[in-house]
Amino acid sequence: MSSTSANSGIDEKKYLAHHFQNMAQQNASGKLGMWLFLGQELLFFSGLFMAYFAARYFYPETFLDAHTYLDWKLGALNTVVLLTSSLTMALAVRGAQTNNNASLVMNLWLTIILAFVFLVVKYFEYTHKFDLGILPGSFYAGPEIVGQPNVFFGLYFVLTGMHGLHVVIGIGVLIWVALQAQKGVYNSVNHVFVENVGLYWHLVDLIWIFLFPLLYLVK
Amino acid sequence: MFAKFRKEVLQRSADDHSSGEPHVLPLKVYFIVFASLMVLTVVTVGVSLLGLPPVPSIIAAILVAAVKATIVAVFFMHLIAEDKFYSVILVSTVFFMLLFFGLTLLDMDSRGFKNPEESLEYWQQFSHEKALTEEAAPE
Amino acid sequence: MFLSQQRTNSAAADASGSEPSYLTAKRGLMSWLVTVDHKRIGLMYLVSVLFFFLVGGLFALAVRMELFSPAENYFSADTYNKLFTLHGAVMVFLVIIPSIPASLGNFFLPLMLGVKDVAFPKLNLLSFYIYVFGACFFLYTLVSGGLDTGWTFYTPYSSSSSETSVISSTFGAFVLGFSSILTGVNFIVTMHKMRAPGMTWTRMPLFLWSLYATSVIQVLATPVLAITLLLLIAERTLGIGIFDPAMGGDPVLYQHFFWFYSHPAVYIMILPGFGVISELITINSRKHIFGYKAVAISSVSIAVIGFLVWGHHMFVSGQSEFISVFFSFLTYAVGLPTAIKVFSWVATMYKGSITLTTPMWYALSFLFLFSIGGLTGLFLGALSVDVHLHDTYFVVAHFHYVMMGGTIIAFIGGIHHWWPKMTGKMYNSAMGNLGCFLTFVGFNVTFFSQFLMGSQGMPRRYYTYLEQYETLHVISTIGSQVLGLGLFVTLFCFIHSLMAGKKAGKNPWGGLSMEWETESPPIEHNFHGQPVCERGPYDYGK
Repeated sequence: MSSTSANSGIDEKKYLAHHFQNMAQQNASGKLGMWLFLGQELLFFSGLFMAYFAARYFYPETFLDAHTYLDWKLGALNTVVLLTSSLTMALAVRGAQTNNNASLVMNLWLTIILAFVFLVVKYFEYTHKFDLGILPGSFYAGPEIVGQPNVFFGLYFVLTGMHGLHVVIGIGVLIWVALQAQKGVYNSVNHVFVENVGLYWHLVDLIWIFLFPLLYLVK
Repeated sequence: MFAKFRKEVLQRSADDHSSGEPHVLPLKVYFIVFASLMVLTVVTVGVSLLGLPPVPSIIAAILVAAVKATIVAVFFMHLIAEDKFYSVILVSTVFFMLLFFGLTLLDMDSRGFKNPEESLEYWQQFSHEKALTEEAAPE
Repeated sequence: MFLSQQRTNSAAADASGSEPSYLTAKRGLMSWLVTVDHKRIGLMYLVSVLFFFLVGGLFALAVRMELFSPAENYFSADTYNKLFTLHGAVMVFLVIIPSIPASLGNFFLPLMLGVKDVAFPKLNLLSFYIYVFGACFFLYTLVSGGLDTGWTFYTPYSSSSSETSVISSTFGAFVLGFSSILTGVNFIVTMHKMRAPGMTWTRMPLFLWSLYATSVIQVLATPVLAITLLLLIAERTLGIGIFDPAMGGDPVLYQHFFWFYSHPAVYIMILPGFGVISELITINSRKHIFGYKAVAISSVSIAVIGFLVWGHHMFVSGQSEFISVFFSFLTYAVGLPTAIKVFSWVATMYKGSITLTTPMWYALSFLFLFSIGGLTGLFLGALSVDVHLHDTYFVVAHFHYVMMGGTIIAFIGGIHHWWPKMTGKMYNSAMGNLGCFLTFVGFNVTFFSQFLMGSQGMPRRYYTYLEQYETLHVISTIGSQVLGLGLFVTLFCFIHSLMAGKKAGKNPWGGLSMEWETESPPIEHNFHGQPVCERGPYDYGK
């Protein structure tokens, strides 16, 4: 029962918490906990999607008309940006798993940069709308549309806003992880934290994969 | 068939890992998945331009999104190489989500609320009244 | 011998006596505030939950006092609305949902599993601080205008008209939800990944199975409440138009959202109570539980089926008849696994060697009170009957029988049962029994009369009422005073034990689950070395 890992010769004891027997148990527990947390995040967003489906069910013409004020090309750009960031995130995790710290650090920073690009695009989208008077809910003062604008735009801002909040939180955590990675904290024995952050980031991407067609491509 | 595919992927990654540590997927897999995701994004936009009636259109959009989501979950989120229980968690979560959507929408449907003209009238009248009272009592 | 010990701790630890208990191992306020010891966290939750139980209870007494006669007695109508709302909100969110899992669950889950702590001890402490943070929002609500929407926050009143502190209280409930979710995550991972060697799933005490089922519900259902409350806040501030008809929304949609969480929430409330009762009945009958697998599976079935019945709160809301039939049918289905448990408990007692300790009196009270509560749920589940009983005192009596007569009774019984282990002291049985008796009598007088007035048409949440209901209201109010007295006697019993109780041994009740192998109170790391599980928790006479 040596405490060094078979191939990489890294001492496990450094990372083992007092209440766990070994790293395998600790890592498996960490990942299981994260998947459970992701499950609840999914159900959290499901409420927003339910509101969307109900509103679209009640006001199909409003959705058809209002969504034309959303620029689908920017939405598609953001989709590509997030999908690429998912790739770099997955590569970062792989870097940690294979003791390739350079790859880990580079891909983490790439993910962070792409996340910022996403937010910048969102910023332009939002400010453009504010200029037109398209504000959330009953503050709407924009162009006339079929039906009730507050329903569509209220949901648009809440949905993308909540998603954006999760992106911001993700960026914060990613920066912290990148700084830790630069200090060489992560390796093939101790990388579950990076994996878990990766799982969170992929979830953020997954939500956007559904938001994009539902908000921008209503036909 | 999926089990065979899974075994194949795991075997190909066998050289990259040591005992007790999780399987590392070959780099190729990540780039193939990424390319597929790009293609599927084009499909997403394409499907919306097909001019399908509302209900099939939304179903098609969701189906494409679901395929994208599945490959992100299976490969990027590593479900193919992990403890099967994580997949159980994801699938049960999605199941409960669909339950929530399904039963609630079923209720909306069988209630016959679908009366947007009436609702719009009510809203306009209410907003008009609201505007009147605000005029009468300025703050 | 009961256990074998693999490796004993080297230097400091000795068999018993020389290693300090978890209460004295580290001293000072800071050691409690930054503790990651599940036992200390469980105790802090216990004290907080009991504190809010007192707060919620005082609101209840105020409500009952106002209803002593139809006239305005002590409070205006607006204040009355705030009293019953706050009674409900405090009791549901701050007391019952955390009660057993956060206090007894946190304390005993690792002990029963034979391990040192839960999977994520720091997350456990964070859960507690999130609870405190959420509680602060409720305390702020109390001083900033209260809340009068009913604990259910129905729209459109809560989204447009109410002028009370809707936002701070809903945000508080939102925050409290995360405390619940994180506890659930912690428990599930602990049970999956950290059991003592030899402890298979079927050797776990049934209390843990019930906590597992509860945790699954906590993780899956609570986020939906979280988003519902956020959407309500958005509706109130931004006017989105999903729940409020004046803005284009649908109030029944709000109810779907709300009850999708809140129905499974009631199973979060009762399942741990079921688990406690399984422990109390087996230990006090010195007999193996009848049908271990049936009881374990029934907990999980209740958790799953419980997600399919939320519409039974909405039969008269305008919900479609078709879906109402679906929900009514499934409501009957969810009664089946519950009944299986009751049969199992009774069968366990049959030909058992019964000791009437205070916890056993609580368990017997539970059987009586919960059965009434559960059966009256079936009356309400019948569509045609519910048309007459919905929003009457019949409903109020039903849920008090299950939530108070069920969960709270099981909770107090559990506290008595595990008191020697947690504190190292025995309590005075006569005092405990007196508390149980007064609580039981007071409870029935208070709430049985409410079944009667409800079936005669007395509506709930009403500040005043017609002359014909006055007698029953008077009886109910007097009952509430006796109930309050009984609870205070119990509180006194615990305080007296802390000050003058006899020292408790490791295993005063002769239990066979692993928590009884530790000292009373346990040392900080629970066990000396890693215990191995060699038998089931109910193998009496084997």
